[in-house]
Formats: sequence, structure tokens, C-alpha cells
Amino acid sequence: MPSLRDLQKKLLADILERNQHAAYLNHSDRINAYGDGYYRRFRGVLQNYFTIVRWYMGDGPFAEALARYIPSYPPSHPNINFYGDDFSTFLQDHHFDPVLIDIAKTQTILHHAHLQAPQKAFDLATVANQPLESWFHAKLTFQPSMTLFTTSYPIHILYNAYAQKDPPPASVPQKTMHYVTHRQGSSIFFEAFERIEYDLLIDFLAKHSLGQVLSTYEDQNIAEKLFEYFHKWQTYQLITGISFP
Amino acid sequence: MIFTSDNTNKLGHGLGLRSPHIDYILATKPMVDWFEVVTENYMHTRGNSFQKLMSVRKDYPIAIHGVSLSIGSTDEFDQNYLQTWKNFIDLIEPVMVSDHLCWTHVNAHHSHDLLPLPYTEEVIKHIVDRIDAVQNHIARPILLENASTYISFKESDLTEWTFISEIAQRSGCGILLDINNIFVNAHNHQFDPIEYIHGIDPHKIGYFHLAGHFDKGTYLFDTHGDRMAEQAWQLYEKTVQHTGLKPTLIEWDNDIPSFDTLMDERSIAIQRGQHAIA
Repeated sequence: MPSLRDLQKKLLADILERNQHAAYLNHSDRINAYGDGYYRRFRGVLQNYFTIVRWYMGDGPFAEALARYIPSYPPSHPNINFYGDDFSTFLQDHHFDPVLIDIAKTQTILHHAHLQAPQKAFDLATVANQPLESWFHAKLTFQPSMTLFTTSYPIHILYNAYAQKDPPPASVPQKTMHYVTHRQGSSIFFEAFERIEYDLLIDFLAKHSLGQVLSTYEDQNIAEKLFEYFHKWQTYQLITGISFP
Repeated sequence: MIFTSDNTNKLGHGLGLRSPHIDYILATKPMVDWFEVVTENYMHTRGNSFQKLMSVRKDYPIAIHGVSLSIGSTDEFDQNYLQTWKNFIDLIEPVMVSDHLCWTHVNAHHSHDLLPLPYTEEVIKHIVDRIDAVQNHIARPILLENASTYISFKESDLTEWTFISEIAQRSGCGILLDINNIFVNAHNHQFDPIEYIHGIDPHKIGYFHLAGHFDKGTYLFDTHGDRMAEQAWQLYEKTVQHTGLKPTLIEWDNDIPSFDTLMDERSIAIQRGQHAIA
């Protein structure tokens, strides 16, 4: 008598191969009730997940890509909503259009940003009376949904075109972009940031203090710029706390 | 840890909480006794959907119903999943915690489907041990739902109702009895659904699920995408005659209709339950 484990391995393999002649089963001709469902379920998840990849790629090529992805990337996460997480890696490994890889990466980042708890934005007015010298050691904390990422193409242009219901452009010029996700109410957006502003955020995320960060920049006007950025970050509700150790 | 239904019979008639309806529910606060959510739709997030669930929770009892516990799997438990699940339970404080009597993964390959088990003594022992581990981990009893199936194992030597009853009896877990699934399985595997109902101890039943199915010609397919079929309603009435009224939930996952349609289906459940005990 086969062990339960052997039966489970066999059944999953037979479902994937749609084997309608499995001798250990009754009604094995109904195996497609599971086999069809397997592929349909994951196609559905990926179609909902990668709406902009699909728009840019076209329905036919997108369906073909999914038909290759699903068998080669067995779901390893207990939550089906995470099944698309490896899709950009798959596109990269199979040498798809690099624009598509950037779109998939962006959609995955936004998907994960959505999962983070919104936190109350910090009110800079509450620290207005901090002694000047204490700011040297100040450290910032940010919305958990804030993610910094770089693409090789201006993906925000494609998002705008998709939102306008425009057809995908015939070509997209290559340009390195530095993006930051931010939350507005229940929605997550991403914004192109200048390189210096992006780098400052990376430094603060690494838990460096204001003084440490400023000392690494040779730009004479960095303090002034940072003051402007602070206000911008506050507008985007990115900062959730400032601590003065 | 032993589940008994004595303190949950008064919960009433609930609905599966689905995202297209949440804003409407928060705005209008409809007369629904409780809501059930799919655990995995919320346990890995603290974002907007979770915040809305917490808002709904202020006004309604919430039950959580999982699809990925994989209690029948022969893989080791995913400790990360168990801890995330427990954290979610601690935050939501649900009235009931349930999953399915099935397996969903082997060799860490998640099918995200509710796959059937062989009904044998060996499998009962395996599952009872795992339920014990799970119940100790979350420090409360769970309910397991009878799943719909389209195939069965030749090596099964027990009936489905003996299998589920023995597991509930030995492990102390409760049963989430899906009436539509009994109807579907009775058709697909040619057994008497009344015999099934009478084989279940009413005190082990936490609540009932009611849902729709689709006739595929050679078998019935559990879709959760339609109203409950008349014959399944008749089985619900016969079940209530045997068990007494129990908390009852309308489950609708595909082709989600208007909230009014769900409320209408819920009203039918109330009427059919009352009719059964009259």
C-alpha cells in the first residue's frame, strides 16, 4: 500500500499531466476538474496582477508567456496572491523585452507596497523647537509602503498611457529612472525623483543620522536642498517620525 | 482542546465578506449577523484591505476561513505561515477559525486547490496529530470543512462521514459542514447524503456553508458562483431537522453578485431553516 506522501506526489503529478488513467483513483476521467482549475486559477491571478504588462505585451503574447511561466514556476507561497512575484525574473531569464521586465518589476513593487500598513504622517511643526544641534543626530522613519526602485525605462509614462486608455507606444526610449512609491489615501503611486533626492532617501532608510548623511555630500547647497525635500516628502506623507537620540 | 457548538448556535446567519461589497457594508451597515473572510486575503497584509476589515470588525463578528493550512499534507508545517496566521487571529479575534479537510501542497509545491484525501485509519492518525499541533499553536480549536471532490482513492476503506467524524472526535476540532459539498459529493460518488448527515455529531458542527454548484454533465462542480440549488436547499432542511438550527453562512466567490442578491439568499436560508424546525 503506497504511503500518503507517495499518493500526494502521484496525484499532483497526475493533475498537472491531466492523466485520466490513474489506476489508484476512482473517476480518474474527472482529473481535469483539478487540472483545468490549476492553470485557470494561476492565469487569473497573473492577469489581475500584471494588467500593464498584458496591455503592453498584447493578449496573445501575454497568454503565451503565462503558458510558459506557470509550468516552470510552481507556486511556493501559501498565498496565491503572491504567485506573480517571480514573473519579472522569469521575463528576465527568458530575455523578454527589457521594458516588460521593468513594468513587471514595478507592478510587483506596487503590489507589495499596497500590503503595508498606512502610518500617520509626521508633522514637522511638532519638532520646530528642537535645538539646532540636536538635528545632527536626528534619524527619520518612513511609511512602510515607501519603496525605492530604479528602472532602465520611464515606466511612469507607460502607466499614464494605460490610465488614458491609449495604445502602448511602438518604442520606449531608454532612460534610467529613480522612483519612490507613496501613498495617497488607499492608493499607492510612484514618482520619479532626482538622483540626489533618491540617494538621500536611501541613506536615511539605512538609518543614518542627518549629520552623517549631510557629511557624505560635497554639494555646498545640500542642506538647502534637503530642507526643500523635507517639505516635499511631507506633502507625500513619506516621513512618519523623527527621533532625536 | 475540544470544540463544542453549544456557545455558537446563536451567531445567526452570515455572509462571506467580498471586496466589491466592503465599502457598501461600511457605509450602510446592513442587518447581517456576521461575516466570514478568506484568511489568506488578509493575513499577509496590513494595507488598505486589512484596515477596512478592521472597520467591518467594529460592527460585526468575523469568522476567518482559510484555504492554505493544508492539514492533510505530508510536508512539514510552514512555520512562517502558522505564525502569520496566529498573528492575524490575535488581531482579529475571530468568532471561529476554520480551514478545509484536505491537502493543498506536497514538496512545497502549492496547488492552491483543495485536494482529496484517502479515507483510511492511517490518514486519520496523521491528520489528528497535525490538528493537535495547530490547535496548540493558536491556543484554540479549529473547524475543518468537508471539501467537494471529483475523484476518490481506491484505497479508501471508510466513508467520508466516518472519516470526518473520527477526526473531529479524536482531535477535538469542530466541523464546518458545507451542505452543498455534501450534495455535490453524494452525486459524484453515489452515496446517500442523508446517511452522511446522520453520521455527523451535531455538537461538532460549528456552522453551515451554503453555496452554488454547476452541473458538468458527468459530475457536479462546486463553483461558489450561483444560488444554492433547490435539491441542496432540501438537504439543508433535512440537515437542520437532524441538527437543529446552527449558524449558517452564504458563500459566493465567483461571478460575485450584488449585495442584495446575497441578502436575498441569506433570507432564503433563514426561511428554509425556520421551515425545517416548524
